[in-house]
Amino acid sequence: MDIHEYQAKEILAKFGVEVPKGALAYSPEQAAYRARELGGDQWVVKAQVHAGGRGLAGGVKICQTQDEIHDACDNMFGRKLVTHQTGPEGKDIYRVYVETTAQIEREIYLGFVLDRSSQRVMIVASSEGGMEIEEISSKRPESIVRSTVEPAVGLQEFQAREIAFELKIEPGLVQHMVRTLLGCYRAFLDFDATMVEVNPLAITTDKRVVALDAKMSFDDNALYRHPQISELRDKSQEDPRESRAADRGLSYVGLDGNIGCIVNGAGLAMATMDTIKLAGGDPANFLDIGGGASPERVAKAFGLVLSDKNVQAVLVNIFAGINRCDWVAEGVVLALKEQQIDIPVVVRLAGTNVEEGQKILAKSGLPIIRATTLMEAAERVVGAWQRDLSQGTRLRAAQ
Amino acid sequence: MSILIDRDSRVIVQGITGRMARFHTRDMLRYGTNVVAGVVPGKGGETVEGVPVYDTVKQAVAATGADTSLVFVPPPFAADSIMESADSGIRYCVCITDGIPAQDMIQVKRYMYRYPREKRMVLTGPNCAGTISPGKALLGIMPGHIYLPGHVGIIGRFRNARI
Repeated sequence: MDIHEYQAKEILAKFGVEVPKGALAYSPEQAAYRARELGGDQWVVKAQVHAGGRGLAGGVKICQTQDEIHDACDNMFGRKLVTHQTGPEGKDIYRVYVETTAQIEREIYLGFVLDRSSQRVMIVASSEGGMEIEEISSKRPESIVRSTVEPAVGLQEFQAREIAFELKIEPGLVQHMVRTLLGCYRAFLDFDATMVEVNPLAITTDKRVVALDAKMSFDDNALYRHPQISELRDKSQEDPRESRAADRGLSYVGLDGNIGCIVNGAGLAMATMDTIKLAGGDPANFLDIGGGASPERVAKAFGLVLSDKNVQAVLVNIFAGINRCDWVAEGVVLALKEQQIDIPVVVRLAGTNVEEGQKILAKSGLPIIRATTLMEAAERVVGAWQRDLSQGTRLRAAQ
Repeated sequence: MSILIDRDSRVIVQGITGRMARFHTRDMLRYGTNVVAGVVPGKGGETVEGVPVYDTVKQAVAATGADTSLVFVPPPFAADSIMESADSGIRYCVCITDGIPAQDMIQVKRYMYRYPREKRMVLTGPNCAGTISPGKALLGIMPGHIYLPGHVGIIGRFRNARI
């Protein structure tokens, strides 16, 4: 789960990381008022969206007067910010963060990530702050400093000092840098983050180490023990189809074909999509019902797939281990009885309780097309979809 | 995978009293797996499918000579259960549980490295379907009947991509 910049800064500040003075606003008037409260003669107005690259996309404006703040906000509120990370549809701007500005001497990049190969938390730092890490690693790879944290004892001061000296932080500021690094690490650890990124971390002309931007992502699997983080979730920043699925315990990825897929497990989902392609069709989505899916969950999955207007046929492909074919079959029957489904539905079941599942489908009397192998299932769903399509065309032609 | 489990493996199921664990314990017993005990703290003395339940893994190991474990414990407690196995002389552990926090798994991996290689437990998972030696033993949630004996061991990443 991602959070906004201002929320990440609030968290980091509690762990001793210095951040600029700032305040949140929900309207241009409020933003101007906030700036007055903060004082000073220059402010930066930053659109709060869950994406990087805001500066280039016009989501960050430096303002000298309250009128300028007003104008900057007018161009942000109610608009979608399109950056290279949001995709073409962009992300809605509902709030802006107003901050006092700082005189920057140099900019540092600082990132904390879960490094899967060492199975530890890794710190990635670079003297080339301001650029994105991908750009740094392609243009200035020699500027990158890495350090991994031993999980039994956590980040040690000497490691933080090593990073500070590698980055050629002047001796008087090393202690401040160490405090910043330790603070970020503690925040990462205490809240089960998967990423903390401070870019840029500024060394100011008045000799301070200040986090000018901050990004944090959290481990969804650990949110149950951090209710205060779960509360920060902002659904306006998520793909509505995907968040609707997540709320129902399903994982969903929308695609642009016509054949809806209901599958268990990411591996099988990919194999299913490949086989549909091989049979001459195009998948409309990737939907994983997960393990131990109840009939209700399967029925909800149907609802979700059918809410996509492009779906003209559905393939249910379940290889049940921890799932149960009888439950899946009940879910399919439930969905077909409750919802008006007038498109072909192909079901392929295998594994745990498959006989019971087949019986339930057979007894239901519903027009469900059954298949035993994945290839057969894919061919049948593509065949049924094509027949349906040509009949539909004939019907329309007859009218 | 006969190098990991075979007919002689003495298996415990951690979290055996849960609904899914009961179901798959029955399946494994039917397949011929030597399930010797279950472990659920506070439920020692009960039986599930005729299998005795113990409060701790150490108790189960002492009573039955178990050397293999299957973890069916919910995500908030699963990491703890894996470490309990690692500390109790279990040699091979499969963790079915999905959704364990990454930080917990960092701790688990670090904990496992406390032991010298010859005493270190081998872990597959978490979020894993299990391990099978066709015709000998099934440790996990796969339907046993689709596997045939052979000479080549296969290790795969996605549980269903193998099928």
